[in-house]
Amino acid sequence: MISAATQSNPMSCDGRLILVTGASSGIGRATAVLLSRLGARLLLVGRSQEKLEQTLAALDGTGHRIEPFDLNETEEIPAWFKHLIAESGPLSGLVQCAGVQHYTPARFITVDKINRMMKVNVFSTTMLAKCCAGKGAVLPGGSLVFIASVAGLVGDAGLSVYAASKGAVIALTKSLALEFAPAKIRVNAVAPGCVETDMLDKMRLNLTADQVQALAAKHPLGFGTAEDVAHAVAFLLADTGRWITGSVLTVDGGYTA
Amino acid sequence: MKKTEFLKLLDQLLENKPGTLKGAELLLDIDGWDSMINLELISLADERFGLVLSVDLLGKCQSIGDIIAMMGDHVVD
Ligand SMILES: NC(=O)c1ccc[n+]([C@@H]2O[C@H](COP(=O)([O-])OP(=O)(O)OC[C@H]3O[C@@H](n4cnc5c(N)ncnc54)[C@H](OP(=O)(O)O)[C@@H]3O)[C@@H](O)[C@H]2O)c1
Repeated sequence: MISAATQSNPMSCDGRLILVTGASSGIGRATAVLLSRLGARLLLVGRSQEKLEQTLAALDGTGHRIEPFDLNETEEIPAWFKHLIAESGPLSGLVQCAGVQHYTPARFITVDKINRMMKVNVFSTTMLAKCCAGKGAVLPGGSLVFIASVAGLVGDAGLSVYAASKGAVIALTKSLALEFAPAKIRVNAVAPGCVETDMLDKMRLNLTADQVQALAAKHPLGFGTAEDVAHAVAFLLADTGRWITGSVLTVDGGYTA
Repeated sequence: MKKTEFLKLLDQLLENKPGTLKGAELLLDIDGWDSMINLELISLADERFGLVLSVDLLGKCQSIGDIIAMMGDHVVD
């Protein structure tokens, strides 16, 4: 059923409790700020308490909380999540934005490097999904959004391990969408192109000026902003996305066109 | 880190026998030295020394000596 608030504004997230990981920086922070303006109450997750507090200070409305947690602690996720839900009540949405990206040329790949990339990008996403499948964790009508990457769709030299992690997120999204549909919970992924955040600044260190220019040229609309991605995430969380599940929304300024 | 230890690390990256690099080699003369090594050196410097390097900075290096100099106080004689 569509509430009065969403009838007048289908993007409204009025009163919805939404957990955003990676909320201490970049896309996660911009998403949290936008969702607060749309009326949501936020649970902000990341490792840096200080940066989460900065995000908290930028939010509209009340009822938000910071929940510092290291998502590399894969085994701890279920107990942590259970505790969170017991304290805050069921979620209407979850945005998995926490992630890491490293250049790993094939001949320098190690098991340790694969593990480090997979832990937060894939294992924690999978465990969060498991938690969302638990009794009373997510309300019917709820929506999960995972931040993948165009790297999961298009190749790039030196990024194979990162690409594999994001490809896994995309695959995860599709099967989970089917599994969660009977509970009226939607699962979608957003695949951004290059977005101006700390992550892109780090990526730039690995590229020559010419390579950065070539990369920019592959984005016909230029590099994106964190807000550009946040808009797409909010669209999938709100009732605007109520008939969308199992999809991968590329938000990439035309990179994959 | 001692210079000898750092040279061993570079040998490892190049799949050389330990002790192959002596420290004065020109990069152009080293078999297997390519742009991918720079990517690995950036993450190595970050993880081991907390040092922020870039491809542009490393691109200025012409010798192993220049690479060692890039590592500053983190690699000593
Ligand atoms: N920027 C881009 O161009 C781009 C393109 C495509 C996809 N993406 C994806 O978008 C997502 C967000 O990236 P961003 O650009 O916003 O990067 P960012 O500014 O570097 O933010 C990454 C976020 O992930 C959190 N995080 C990392 N490891 C964590 C851990 N172990 N536990 C909890 N939180 C952790 C960080 O928080 P703490 O440091 O506080 O832990 C931070 O909030 C990532 O999944 C990334 O792969 C980014």
